[in-house]
Amino acid sequence: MNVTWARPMPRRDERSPSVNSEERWESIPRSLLWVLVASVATEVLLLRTFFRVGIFIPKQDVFRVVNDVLVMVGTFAFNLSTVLTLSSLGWLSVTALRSGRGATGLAIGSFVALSLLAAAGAATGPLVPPMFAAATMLVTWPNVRRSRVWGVRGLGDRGNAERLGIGLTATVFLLSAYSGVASSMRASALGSPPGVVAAQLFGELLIVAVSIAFLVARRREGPIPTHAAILGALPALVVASAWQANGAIAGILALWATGLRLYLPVWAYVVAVWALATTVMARRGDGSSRAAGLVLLACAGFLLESTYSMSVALLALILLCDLPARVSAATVSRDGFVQEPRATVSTAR
Amino acid sequence: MRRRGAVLGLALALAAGLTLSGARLAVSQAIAIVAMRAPSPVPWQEPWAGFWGDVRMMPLPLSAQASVAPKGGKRLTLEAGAVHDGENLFVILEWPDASPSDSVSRTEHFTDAIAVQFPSEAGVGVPALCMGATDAAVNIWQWRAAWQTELERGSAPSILQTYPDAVVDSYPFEGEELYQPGRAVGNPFAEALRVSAVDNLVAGGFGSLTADPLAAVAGWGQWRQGTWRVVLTRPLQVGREGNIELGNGANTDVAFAVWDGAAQERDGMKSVSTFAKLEISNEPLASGIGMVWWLPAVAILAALAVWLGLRAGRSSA
Repeated sequence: MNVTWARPMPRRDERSPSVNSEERWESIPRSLLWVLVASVATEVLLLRTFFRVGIFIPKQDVFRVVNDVLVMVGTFAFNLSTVLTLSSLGWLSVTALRSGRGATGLAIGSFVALSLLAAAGAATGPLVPPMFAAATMLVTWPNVRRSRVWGVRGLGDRGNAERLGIGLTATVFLLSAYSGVASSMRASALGSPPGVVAAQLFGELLIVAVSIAFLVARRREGPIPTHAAILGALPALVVASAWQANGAIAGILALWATGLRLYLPVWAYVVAVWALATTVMARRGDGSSRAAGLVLLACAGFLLESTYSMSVALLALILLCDLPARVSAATVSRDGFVQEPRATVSTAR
Repeated sequence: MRRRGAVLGLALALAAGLTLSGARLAVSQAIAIVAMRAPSPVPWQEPWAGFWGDVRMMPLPLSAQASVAPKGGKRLTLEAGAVHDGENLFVILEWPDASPSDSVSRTEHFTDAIAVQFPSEAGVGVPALCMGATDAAVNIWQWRAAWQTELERGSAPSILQTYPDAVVDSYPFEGEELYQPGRAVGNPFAEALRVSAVDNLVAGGFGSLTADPLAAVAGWGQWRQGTWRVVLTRPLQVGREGNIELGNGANTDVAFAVWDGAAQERDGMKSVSTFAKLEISNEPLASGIGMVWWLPAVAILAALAVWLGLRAGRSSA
């Protein structure tokens, strides 16, 4: 005889680390995740920054050799991160489909498929940003709503700051996707929708708020370790020093690598970098994938103008929602509600 | 553990294969300026004519030139568009400038200017943005507000025009070229009578910028309420070494630079873009289409949001 019953869903901070890590392993292997993070960061440094700077410099003699080697390493990192990102999204799509989140799984899978088709030369490029926007909304919606109905807890039932951070991140992505689509429409005969620059400026403002929101969310879970705050200050100091040394070059590099115009006061970006880096350091080893999600969020940049940057951004959002762990730990209904995990025990011998 | 290793190994092998083959699994939204076919004549000397309202403009971010001294410039957004009439290319450019600077007659005067840079050979590859390289030359068209003023006036400003209260007894040999070496050697800055407001230049690396006088490269600008609009034009094909050849279906790289005379910008002190794409299309320039297509899109998104809200409401109930 089979008996099925529901047991209470443990609170988020009460879940057993061993169970969580095991469940998460089923979603994205942690070691692969950090290889992915390292390759994306290498791509940012060597292609988006070094290669773009190199475009301005006539290359001769030894510099040409050094340039070629670094660009090849950067290209390899780019290809590796592309493979790992798309594979991860494909796997998460399957995971979501299996766990009952059909629409989300379908949107993520369609996004991956359309991206690959576009890279293969099919005319699916214009469909990628709308599908990215759809996947973003479907991933985000259950994670930002507050709900506790009939004792069933929604995925959105998390701290206000975290929900705010996730919601703002998704808004930034949607604004960026809108801005990209609108810009590409300018060159077509269809005409251009309004508010492209306004969307970019507003999105950039939200990015600063995203960093603060995630730091506050982490603080709500417990004190920020001192070493995290100190280590987090290092990249912030680098940004401040670079701006002080040569604001023009720092501004250009930020624009190229992340798409940020730096139109806000510089201290706002310095604080944002500190908040982001501190949260990454504080979240390392907490059993979630949110530290990796934050690094990928920074590496994806703001202007998501390629299928690659959109893939990295979408993966970052999923990791920030800690969706794989939540989906694996409980069955989630189509509307985003967590169904109590059911255990099936056979008493028959 | 074995499965992790296998996945990582497969990913590394795939990445190595992609790197060696030059294939990519990702594509980007290219910044492309599409030059559609327009009916002749194109009013290139009237940058604010209604005709240009039908040309699709592409916003391009410009930033300060910070690679080579003298560094300078600022961050601004340039709008660029292009059309062709089958024989000539017309590039229209628009950028904000609080005040027009169209004179270089005094030492402390600097002119507003804009330049368009192409690889000398279209579609071969992206050259170094800063004046190209020895094996990858660039062709530059530079419009200067001061040149246009001289063209309109019919002469370079005289000393008395610049300094009305100056007193000069006489300039010996004033009309003899021998005593005006700049003009004698063909320095474009010393031209007495300009034939175009646009300088045609060719470069193959730093310090190699060379004037290649070509009257066919022309342009006209007009400043209105804090905005410059300039149209540059040149025959698609000129058959001249170092000058880009364009034709129907051509696809090339193009970059832009802007100088603000009021901010004393000159030489390397300029705002620059990175390379964008320019495509010459045979599609006719459509007029009056669009600008409202996004209304249905907004309506669909709004309907989707309402649907999601209703669905959430039902779930809550």
